[in-house]
Order: sequence, then structure tokens, then C-alpha cells
Amino acid sequence: MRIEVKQKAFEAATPLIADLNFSVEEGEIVALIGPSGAGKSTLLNIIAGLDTDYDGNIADVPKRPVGLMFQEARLMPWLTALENVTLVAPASHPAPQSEAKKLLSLVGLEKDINSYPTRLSGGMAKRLALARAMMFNPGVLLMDEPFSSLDAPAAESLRRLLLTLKEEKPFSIIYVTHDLKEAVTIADRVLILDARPMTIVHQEIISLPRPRFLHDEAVNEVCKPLYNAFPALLYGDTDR
Amino acid sequence: MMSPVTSQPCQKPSFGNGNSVSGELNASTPHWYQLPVLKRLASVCLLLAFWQVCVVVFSPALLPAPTEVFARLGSELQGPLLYHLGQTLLRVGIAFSIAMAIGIAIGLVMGHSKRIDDWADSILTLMLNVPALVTIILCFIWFGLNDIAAILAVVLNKAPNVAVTLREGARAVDSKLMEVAKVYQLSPLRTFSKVYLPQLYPYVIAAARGGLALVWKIVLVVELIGCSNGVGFQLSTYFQLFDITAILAYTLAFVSIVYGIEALVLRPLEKRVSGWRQR
Repeated sequence: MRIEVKQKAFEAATPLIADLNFSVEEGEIVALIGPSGAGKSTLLNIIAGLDTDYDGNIADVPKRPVGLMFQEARLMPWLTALENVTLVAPASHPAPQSEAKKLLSLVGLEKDINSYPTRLSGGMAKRLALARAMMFNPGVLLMDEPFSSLDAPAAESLRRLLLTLKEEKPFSIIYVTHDLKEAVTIADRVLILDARPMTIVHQEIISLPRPRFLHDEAVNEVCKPLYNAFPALLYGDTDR
Repeated sequence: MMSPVTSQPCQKPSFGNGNSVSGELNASTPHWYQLPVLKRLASVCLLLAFWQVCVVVFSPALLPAPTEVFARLGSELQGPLLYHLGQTLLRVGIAFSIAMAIGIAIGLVMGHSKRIDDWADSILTLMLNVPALVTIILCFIWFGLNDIAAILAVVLNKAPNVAVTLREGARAVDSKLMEVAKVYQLSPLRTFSKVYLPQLYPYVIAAARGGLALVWKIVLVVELIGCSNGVGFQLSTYFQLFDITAILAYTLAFVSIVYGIEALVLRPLEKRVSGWRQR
């Protein structure tokens, strides 16, 4: 999949995104990292087709659809866990119920298939949202800081779960985060973004062996020079 | 009445892993005398007892005892009461359905389109504030003393209220959930039935409950002014005869039926479509 955004602006004078081009190979995990407010969510909306008001082009779209996991779980509170998953099954799906049940047990919610989302913890809701995304059988899965609201152990287990699911049925991932360590832990390639306008300033290929953990020394080694090179972009949410 | 519980998806505090806590909560089932049905019944019985005691103690000239009213109700049931009750209920049913349908449609259009809302808002406010009596009189003058005029008068009174409630509902539709439907490429039918409509249920039910209470009151006035049958017509007859017992007997019959509709239709319906909130 190739993404080319020449320009995206809400006000004509100050473009939010300018000349942002990158591609994602089949099965690759690309992490986008940059300061908050840079327009990362807007970029994902463009790739997902929610926002069509931009100058540019999305090419080489895979046959399977593009899925999007939002920052919040965004579940339908009036549907049970099982119904939330089957909701996104294509009409032509031969057995949505049994596949949804299989996915729910893969994400560890087999006991909660008839629970409503209001009864699930934050981590469980994210697992459910992940199961829903898998039911959609995406060729590319866009993830917008999907685990940022979770505590560290819950986020860690969900990242591992994500990689397990990806092995079952390979798909590419575009993973947006503001945490460099998280990006290095999960991605094959990290793109560092600048803000106003958003554009790519650096690309880092991560060839560390897997499994990787957030506190691995090797992850730290990769991060250190990047922190030194782009302190303003990587040190948290400072409004520069 | 106008602002039902707004839905706040996914933001309720969670119970950790859920299961253990719920078991403990359900363990304490209420005693039989704490059942809501019995409380409702008890309050009505208390009111009747108070009424009876007042009549016995003060023996007022213009207030018959509840026992007398019930006896009269029994005898009226053999007479024309059922016929008039049927006529009134028919008018209530037709007017209620039409008012709901029109009100929902107008409310949704106004809630979703700022431009139409700007244009129609002042008319809606006007309609809300025209006294029911004025609409009724005008309808009878313009369209004659017939059932079409009667039902039109009720619809004109009720539909604006429904529209206002549903406009709030349409405005409260969560665009984030609609985005989910779009990203996951749900068919229009599925988006409507599984994502859009469930967000409106609380508003539709609030409009229906408020609507039922309002519509039957207006129907009685309509019948009193311009119909030759129905409970309202009978009430005006008994008013002229100063027959207070009969007036109360008719009121009792009618109120019981409306109460029954509320308890047997609207409340269970509400429970079904908002069951997820309680769990």
C-alpha cells in the first residue's frame, strides 16, 4: 500500500500535512511517531477513507479491506461482546457466529461473550475491539495509539496478542504512537514525524529479533541516538 | 420529560473483571414487600382509603365515596360505557400513531440538518405554544365537526412535542460510533438498525410515554367540544346533569386503561431496549 498526501489543510494558510509519502509492505508493521496534535489521527482517517477532503492519493490498496482501531474501544454498548464482533462480518461470511466465538476465545474473552461492553474493564474492551478488527479480516490494520489508555502490563499483553493474531492471518499494520520505545518494540520500521505541517523527518529500520520487550536493553540502544537526534519530537507532549 | 437519559457509551466505571462483583450484588434479592409493583398498588389503595375516610368523616355534598363510584362503574359497564371508551381509544390510537410518525420524521430531519433546523425552529416553537384549545376550535371551524378534524387537532398538538424530543435524540447521535460503522463498511440497513436506531430508542420511548399522557387528555377535550360520542362527550353530558359519580366512574375506567397500556406495553418495551444499561 502506498500513501501519498500532498496536502491536507483545515485552514488554507496552515497545512496540517504536507508531502507525506510512505509505503507499507505486505505483513509489515510501520510505526508512526510524532508529537501530539501533529495530525496523526487525521492521517489515519485519510487512509481509512473517513476523510476524503485532501490532496493526494492512496495507491496499491490491498484486496482485503483497511481496518481501523481507534484510540478508544468504540464498542456498541447495546450489543453483547459476541454481537459487537459479528456486527462487522461481511454479509457473505459463511459462519460469523463460530468465527466470532473463536476470535473471542483467542483474545481471552470466551467467558464474556454475552456480556455488555459496560461490564468490561478497559483492557477487556480493547481486546474486544481487537477481536472485532480481526473479524473484519483486514489487509491493513490502522491503529491509533490503541493501548495508550491501558496500564503497562495490560498494554504489554495486548501487544503480544496482536502479534499472535497477526501470525494466524497475516496483515500489515500502521501503528500510531507518541512513545518511541513502544514503536521500537512493535515495529519493523519507525517513521519519525514533524508537526505543522506533518511530514517524515527520519526513517529507522528495526531489525531486532522478536520477541522484544519494552525494557529490553537492545530497545534502549536503538532509542538513545534517536532521542538525541530529535529531542523536541520525541520527548512527550511539549507544545513547542 | 424532554431530555431522556443521554447515552454515554463505554464510559461507565467498570467492575474490574466483572463476574465476582455481580454475583454478590444479585445475592441480595429484595423482600416481597419491597417489590415495586406492590408499592405502586399500595399507594393507590392508600389514596382510595384516604378518600373514603374523608367522605365518611365530612360527608361532603359534591364528592361521592369511592365505593359509590365503583358501584356506578359496574352498572355503567353494562350500559354505553364500553362503546364510548372504544371510540375514545380508537381516536387516541390513531392520533398517537400519526403524531409519533410525523413528529419523529420532523425531529430527525431538524436534528441532522442545521439549515432546516434554522428555518423550522421558530415555527416549531410557535406550534408548541399555541394553546391546545385554539387548535381544536380552529380545526372544527375549518374542517367541520367530524373525526378527521378531531384527529388532526390532536396531531397538531402532539407532533411538535415529539419532534422536539427526537431532535435532541438526533443531535445526541454519537458520530464516533457512526465512524465505526463506516470504517467497517456496514450496509446502510445494518448501520441504521444496529448503530443508529439503538441510540434513538430512549428518545422515542420518552416521546411515546409523554405522548400517551398528553394525547388522551387532548382527545377528551376534542370530544367534549365537537364529537357526539366518546368519553369526553359523555363527560360533558354528565357535567350538564351534575352527575359527579358518573364523571368519576368514566374517569376511573379511562385512567385504568391508560395505566394498563403504560404498565403492559411501554414499560416492558423500555426495559427491553435499554436492558444493556442495567447489566
